[in-house]
Amino acid sequence: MAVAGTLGPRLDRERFQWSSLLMLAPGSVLLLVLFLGPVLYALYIGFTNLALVGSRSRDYSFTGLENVTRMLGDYVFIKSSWLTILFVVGSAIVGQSVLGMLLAILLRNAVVPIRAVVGSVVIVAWVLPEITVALIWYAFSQAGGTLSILLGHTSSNYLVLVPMLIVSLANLWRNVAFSMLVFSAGLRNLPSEVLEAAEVEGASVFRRYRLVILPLLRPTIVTNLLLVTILNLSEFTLIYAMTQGGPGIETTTLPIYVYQEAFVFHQLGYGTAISLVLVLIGAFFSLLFVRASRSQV
Amino acid sequence: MRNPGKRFGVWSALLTSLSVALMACGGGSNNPSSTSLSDDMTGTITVAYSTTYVFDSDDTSVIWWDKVKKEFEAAYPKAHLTLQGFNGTDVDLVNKVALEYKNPATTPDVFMLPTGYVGQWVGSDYLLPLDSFVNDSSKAPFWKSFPKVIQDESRISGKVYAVNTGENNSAIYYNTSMLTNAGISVPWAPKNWNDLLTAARAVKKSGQNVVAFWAPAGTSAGAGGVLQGSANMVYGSSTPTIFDYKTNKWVVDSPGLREVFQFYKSVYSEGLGGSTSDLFSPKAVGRPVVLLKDHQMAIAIGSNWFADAWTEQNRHWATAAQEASAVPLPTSKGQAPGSASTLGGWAVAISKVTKHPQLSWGLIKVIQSDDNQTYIANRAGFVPPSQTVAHSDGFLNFAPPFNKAFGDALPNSKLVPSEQEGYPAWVQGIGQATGQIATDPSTSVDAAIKILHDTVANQVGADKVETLK
Repeated sequence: MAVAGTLGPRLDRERFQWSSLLMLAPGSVLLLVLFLGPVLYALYIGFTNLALVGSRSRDYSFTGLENVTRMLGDYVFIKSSWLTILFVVGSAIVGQSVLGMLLAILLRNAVVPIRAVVGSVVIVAWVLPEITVALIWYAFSQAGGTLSILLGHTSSNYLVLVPMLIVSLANLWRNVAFSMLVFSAGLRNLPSEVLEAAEVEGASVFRRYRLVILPLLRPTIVTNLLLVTILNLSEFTLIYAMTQGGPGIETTTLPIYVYQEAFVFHQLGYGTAISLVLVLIGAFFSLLFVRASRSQV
Repeated sequence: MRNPGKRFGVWSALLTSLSVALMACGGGSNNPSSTSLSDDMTGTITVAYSTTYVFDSDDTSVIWWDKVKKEFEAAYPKAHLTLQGFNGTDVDLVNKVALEYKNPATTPDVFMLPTGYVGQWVGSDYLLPLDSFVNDSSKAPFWKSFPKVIQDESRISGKVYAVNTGENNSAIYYNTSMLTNAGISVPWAPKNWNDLLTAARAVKKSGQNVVAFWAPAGTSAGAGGVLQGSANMVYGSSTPTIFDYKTNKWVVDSPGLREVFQFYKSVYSEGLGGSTSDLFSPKAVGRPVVLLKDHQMAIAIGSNWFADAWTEQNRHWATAAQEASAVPLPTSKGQAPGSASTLGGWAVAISKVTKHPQLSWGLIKVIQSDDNQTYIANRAGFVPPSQTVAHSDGFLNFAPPFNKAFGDALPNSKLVPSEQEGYPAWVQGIGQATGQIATDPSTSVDAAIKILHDTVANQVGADKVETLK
């Protein structure tokens, strides 16, 4: 005991200094006021019948699970959730990640001029403001637009015929650069000795990718999936500028439906409740990916 | 090992107290009892309005509001007017200003808003009743020149809450020579919807390669697109009811609605209508103005402001008066009253929380001067509420002969029930139903009725919709 005393406080446990609270205070206050406050307020509003204008903009009340019950019977909400998942899985998780990976691999093996040209073109699409991308793809997919000329049906308006496919492609076109950059960086950082060893051992290209490169890239892939899911789940500008959720409700993903409920139908409470569902979907995907990244090779 | 439980305890305590505080804030909105009308006529008042959606061009909006500000500050030397213009559409304006009204400190004193929203603003208890002003002819010299239908437009539970500054109504525009080329004699006077279809079919058959008939469809142009499009057809149908005030329910199925959808089916299945690229464009409301001017369209359901949009100051179509004409939209089978149109416009209201009710009324008086009313009617494309202005040369000679045609159509024009909270849902429903027919003309009338029914019932509840026989 006495010996232990002379050694000073134990270092294998976390120590707490009250003075550190002072240092943490400014950051904590900002976090509370600017982040947690609004989050909690939204959580509360999501369980009320608050309206933007009209009598319930003043006399609103806590309505318990009413918004949740309404959601379950709301065919637009159900279709909208399905479209959101389709959009995120199709355009972002599969489309953007697979194409991004392919581009990264092809560019890695390409000669320098091709790498520079293709890389710049892909990145330019990403650097363009979203609204510009929306207008480009709007014009591209209209009757008489480039797409209809390429396909030989100049009177077909593809934004009306296959609206979800067109907005998904537009989103993919814009965002693929992000995945490509992430994967390129990942590929560059692979240890060359492992790759060389696999090559010397006579592994085919396919086997090298399947057994060596992709497993080594796993953390990069998971990070990419996590980021693209979160970014695409809340995609609003592109879809709204192209279709406003139409025709009908064919492209009404959850962010568009939240906007409609809150700012077209003036149902702030119900709109907020739907946005909470969006957060839950995002949290679910994030947990899935975080788990996947933990079970390391 | 950390003790996550302990940390959670600290955080949860913090969060609980914060959320309680927030809930207290949320619930504790102000509730002004009654506003005193006394005013020292000194200080600053603010007016909120749309810079981009009312006038035909943004620069005329700036000119008019600057003129109003100058005249107001000259009339009330100790007062100052802050102009608070908002960009975007009518929906954007209403959303942004609705957020301002959440707090008395950011609430504008005067708000120029679409007439359809006055009811909802009153429902929020945001507006000052204006009866003591409008009933005093020294304070409201213009009021007696308003027709009763316009005086009553913003009268809710017996009280007047807003003063109209201009109306929009609709009729049929047509290109004279295109109809002549198709063998239709002009001046054309369609008596029923069949006459409309006959003319459109003749135009298509004549091979002029133009849009034969513009029947607005889809949701992209929002409430404005429906007001200036399909809602007119509903009012011209055999059951011209959108909202049933007797039962307080939305009409989602009626013989009239079925007539409207059948008419749309004829237009789109026979290839008489516009392209989906034009119909579903966010600029759909303005497309017929351009297509008529560019000689690419023969007949269009259109709003009175088109004519002002063709004047020299705007999208100049110098020969519009010679090349085009306007006639009232007939009723479906020619039934009384023979023609139909929607009616909707803009009005100015005073906020209940204002500290300067008299100054705010002073601003409305300036806005309502004959001079300012003539300017806004001409440059924003309004039918003026004041009959003095409506019959003045300054208005009638601005865009002849169209201004007169729409002025004459005013008696048969009816308000849409936009003061009801479910109106945006009805707009969405009819937009989706007509849009579906334009996209796929094989859509049955039953299917279109189902879209309208489902969309409205989903928002307002199945117990708030009904079928009229």
